[in-house]
Amino acid sequence: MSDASGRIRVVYVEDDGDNVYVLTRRLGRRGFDVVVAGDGAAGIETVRKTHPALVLMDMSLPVMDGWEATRRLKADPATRDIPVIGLSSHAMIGDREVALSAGCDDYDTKPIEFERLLAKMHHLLVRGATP
Amino acid sequence: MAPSVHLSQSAPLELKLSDGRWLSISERRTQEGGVVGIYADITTLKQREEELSCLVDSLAVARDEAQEANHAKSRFLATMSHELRTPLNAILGIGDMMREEAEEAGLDDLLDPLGRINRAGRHLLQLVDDVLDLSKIEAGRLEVQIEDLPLRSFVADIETTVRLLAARNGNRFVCDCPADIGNVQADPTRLRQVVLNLLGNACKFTERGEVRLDVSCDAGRIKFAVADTGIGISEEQLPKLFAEFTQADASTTRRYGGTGLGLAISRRLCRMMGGDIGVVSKPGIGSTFTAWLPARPDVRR
Repeated sequence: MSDASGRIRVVYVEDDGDNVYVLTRRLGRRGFDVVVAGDGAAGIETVRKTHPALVLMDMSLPVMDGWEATRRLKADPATRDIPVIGLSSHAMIGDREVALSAGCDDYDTKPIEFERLLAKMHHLLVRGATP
Repeated sequence: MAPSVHLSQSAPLELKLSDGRWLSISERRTQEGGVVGIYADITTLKQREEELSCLVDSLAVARDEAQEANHAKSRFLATMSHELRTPLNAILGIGDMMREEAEEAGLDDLLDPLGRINRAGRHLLQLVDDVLDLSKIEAGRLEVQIEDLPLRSFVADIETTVRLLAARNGNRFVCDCPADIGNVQADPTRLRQVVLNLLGNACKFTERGEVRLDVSCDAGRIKFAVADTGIGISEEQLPKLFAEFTQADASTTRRYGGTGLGLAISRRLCRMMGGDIGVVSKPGIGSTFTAWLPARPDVRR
């Protein structure tokens, strides 16, 4: 769940370098340990290996998209309890419904409003901590 | 010169002669048992007919080409808008991050310029979003998913969002929606976009006044009346309001921002959902925009 220094581990599945740069830096400053994976398949592998407290999943990804990766994480008893926040550009309507139906616990749109995303993350992390 | 042919009484025979001329031949029997033959030179008529059919063909080709060009334009816009968003999102994200870090580091001189980057970036993003919507509508690729939508919770959600927006210009926001209002036939995402567009405009063009949202049901129609006590719109400006890229005048854009696409998109969305938008306004007094949608399922759909 967290590393030696007590930072909360989050897996961020994203293929855009600038998005990775910004969110890794901002979350890092707020006490998160961000592990990045560049596509859906790598995302699943990383989640299985690092057991994060939460997953941030971009929806349009190479190799395997975020919907499919989320579906697989939620089908696996070892990873199904890890909350997933789906992220997508809101150019596509109906994305929210599709993301939630794939098993995402919450959903947010780009451009990322950092404080809003943080609030969603905290909400899911608190819910996970007190079942 | 006339060919000897037997003709029926009713249909004239049309013949092309070896010199290129056309003849129309018809025969009538007389009461005395004789035959009257009428030979008419219809060369000019035939030429016109050919010209006309050529014209029809080339018009059809031109129409197909225009349609294809229009689709290509819409595809281009949709793809470009999507491609534009990615780097724009990066700029906004990095700008926002820098603002936060500058604030923490006490670099107050930088807060204003970083805020300006953010505002300009958001304006550009809104433009890109609107162009994307419009190109999707024009390409016939924007689908509305009509559902039976309970209005009370829908309006309550909008109320929360708009209260903050109204406060920015020191406006009071009043929302009136009867408890027994029932349902509307609409696409929730798109209806939200329409109502927020109208309320956003009202808040923008009104200072220290009142913005109202009155939801009512009348003659099978659910009406969303958005009234403000803002600057209003002159009679000459009213007809241009719903046209693409038109605000009341160019200085409006400079002073109030916006893309000039919001109302055009809202009207088209309303029409796609079986309704429409209308407006009444008095300069200096305020404006009321009314969007309506069917309350019950439309049997024609």
